[in-house]
Amino acid sequence: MKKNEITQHLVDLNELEILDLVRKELEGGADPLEVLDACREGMIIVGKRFEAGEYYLPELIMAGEIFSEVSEILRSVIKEGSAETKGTVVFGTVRGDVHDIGKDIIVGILRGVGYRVHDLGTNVETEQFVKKMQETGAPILGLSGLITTAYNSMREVIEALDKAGIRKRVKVMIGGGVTDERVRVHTGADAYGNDPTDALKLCAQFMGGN
Amino acid sequence: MKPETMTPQERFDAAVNLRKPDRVPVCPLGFLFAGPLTGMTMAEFYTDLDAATAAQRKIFADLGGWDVVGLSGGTMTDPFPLTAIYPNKMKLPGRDLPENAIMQFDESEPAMVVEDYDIIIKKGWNHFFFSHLLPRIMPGYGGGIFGTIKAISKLLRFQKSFKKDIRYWESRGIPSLVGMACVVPYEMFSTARTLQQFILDLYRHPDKVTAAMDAALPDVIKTTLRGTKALGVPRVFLAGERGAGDVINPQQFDQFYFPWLKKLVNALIDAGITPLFHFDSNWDRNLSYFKEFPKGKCILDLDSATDIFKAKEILDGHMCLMGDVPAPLLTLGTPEEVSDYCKKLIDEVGRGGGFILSSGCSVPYDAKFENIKAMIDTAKTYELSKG
Repeated sequence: MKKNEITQHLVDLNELEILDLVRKELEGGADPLEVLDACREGMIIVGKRFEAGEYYLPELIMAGEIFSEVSEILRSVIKEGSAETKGTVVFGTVRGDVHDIGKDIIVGILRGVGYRVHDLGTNVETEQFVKKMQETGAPILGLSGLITTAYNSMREVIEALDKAGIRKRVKVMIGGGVTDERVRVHTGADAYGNDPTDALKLCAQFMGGN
Repeated sequence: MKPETMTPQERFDAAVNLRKPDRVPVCPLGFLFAGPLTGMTMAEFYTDLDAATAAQRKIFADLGGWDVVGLSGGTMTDPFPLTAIYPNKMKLPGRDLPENAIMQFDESEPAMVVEDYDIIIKKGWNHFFFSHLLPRIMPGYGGGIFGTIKAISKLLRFQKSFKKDIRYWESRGIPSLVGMACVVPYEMFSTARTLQQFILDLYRHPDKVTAAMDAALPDVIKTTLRGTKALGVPRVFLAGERGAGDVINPQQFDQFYFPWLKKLVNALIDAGITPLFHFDSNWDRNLSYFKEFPKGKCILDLDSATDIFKAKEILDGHMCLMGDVPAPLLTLGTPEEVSDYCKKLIDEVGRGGGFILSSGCSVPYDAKFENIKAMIDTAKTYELSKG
C-alpha cells in the first residue's frame, strides 16, 4: 500500500489526489485501518507544522476537511470500535455562547490525530456536559467560549462535575477568544489554551499523566 | 492637578492627527454594559431601543462622562444594520438564548452556496444581498420588490434613529467615534459562507472568490459613502477579524484580503473619511502593512489579541492607535488592576500622542461598573496629576 503517499497528500492538502488514491487502494484490497493510520500520520505532521508556524488555521481546516472526507469513505469498511483511539474527549461551547469556529477546528484536529471526540455543539446546557461525561467515562472535557458570558457557564459546568462526584477523574481544559489565566482561576479549570497546539499538548499531557 | 485645556472633540482630533492632547482621550467602546448596570435584562436591552437609549445616557452620566461615544443607540443591538455587514443568522437573547446573553451570529449553516459567487460576479453585491441572501437570513425581508422595500425601510429607520442619537451627543460636546460601518468582501463572504466553508472555497475556487470580491467592492464603497453622508460623521467603522494573522495565512492575506482593504481604505480617504480599523484577533504579523496607508488618516483599534505595544513600535508617528483594556480584566479584574494597565497604555502607547484609551473590542456587557470607571478616571486624572 502507498502509505507514505497517502500521508504526503494529506500533508500537502491534495484533496482530489488523496481521495482518488484512497479509493484505489481500498479497491485493491488495502487494509482500511492502515489507510486511517496513514491519514492520522498526516494529521500529526500538519499539527507539527502548525506548531512550528509553517502552517496556519486554513491549512488545519483544509486538512480536517480532507480527513473527514477520507473517514467518510472508510466508515463503510471499518468496523465501529476497531480503530485504536488515543482517548475520549467531550467537547462543547458552553451555555449562552454559540461560537463554534474554534471548537470545530480543535475537534477536527483531535479526531484527525486519533482521539474519539463527542462534540456536543454550542450553547450546551451544564447538565448535558455532566450527562455525557458520566455516559462516556471520558477523562477530558473541553469547554469553549468566545464571549464573557462563557466565564460563569464554564464555572457552572465544573461545579456540576464536582457535585456529580466526577470532578477528580476529569481534566477540564477551557479555550476560546477571551480565556487566560485569570479566567482559568475563575472557572476552576485545570488548564486553558489559545490555539489548536495547546489543545493537542494538553490532551497528550492529560492522557499521559505528564 | 493641572486643568484640562481641550474639549473632547479637540482631544480626539489631536490623537487622530498624531499630536499630544492635554490628556489621553477615552472611549469605552459600545454600550451593552448599560443594560445590566441599569437593571435591564439583555433581552429588554436588545428589543426596547428607547429604554436602551435612556439607559446609555444614564450610565454615561453615572460614570462621570467620557470623551468619545462609540457605537451608541441601536448599533450593537439592531439586527438589520449588522446583517448588512455580517450576513448570517443571529441568535437573540430571550428568543434563542438565555435572557441575559448577548446577540451572537449563528454560523452553523452557510447562508450562501458556492454558486452564489456567480450571481455576485454578474449582478454585484447589493443585488445578491437584497434579492437572494437576506430572505434566507430574515424571512419576509428582501427577495421581491416588496420585501426589498421593507428591508430598506428598516435600514433607513435605524439610520434615522442613530443619526438622532449622534446629534444628541454632539449637542453635549461629545463626538461619536464613527457613523457608518463596513467590511471588506472577504469578511462578508466568510460570514455568509461560514468561515470553514469559505476557507475551503479559497482552496477549491480561488478565481471565483476573487472575481466575486472584485464585483462586490464597488457596492461596499457606494453604500459606505452614502451612509456616511446621511449620518454626518466623517469616520467609518471598518471591522476586520478574519484576515488576522491567527486566522489566515500570509499568502492568503496577500491574495484575498489586503488588495481589497487597500482599495476600500483609499476610496474612503479620497472622500475625506477617516477609516477606523476595528481589528479583532491577532494582527501582529500584518502590522507593517498598515504603513502602506497614508500617515495620520486612519485609526487602528485593537482588541488585546494583537500586541498593542508592538503596534506602537511599528506605527508610531504614522497611525493613531486605540485600545485595548482586555475583556477579562474589565469583567473579572479589580479597579486597581484596570487602572494599572491603563497607566501602562498611557505611558507606553500614548507616549508622544496618537492614542485613544479604549476597551479591547467593546466593553463586555458584564463588565463591572467600578472597572469601567477606573478606566475612564485614569484617563482623566493620570497625566494631569503628574508633575
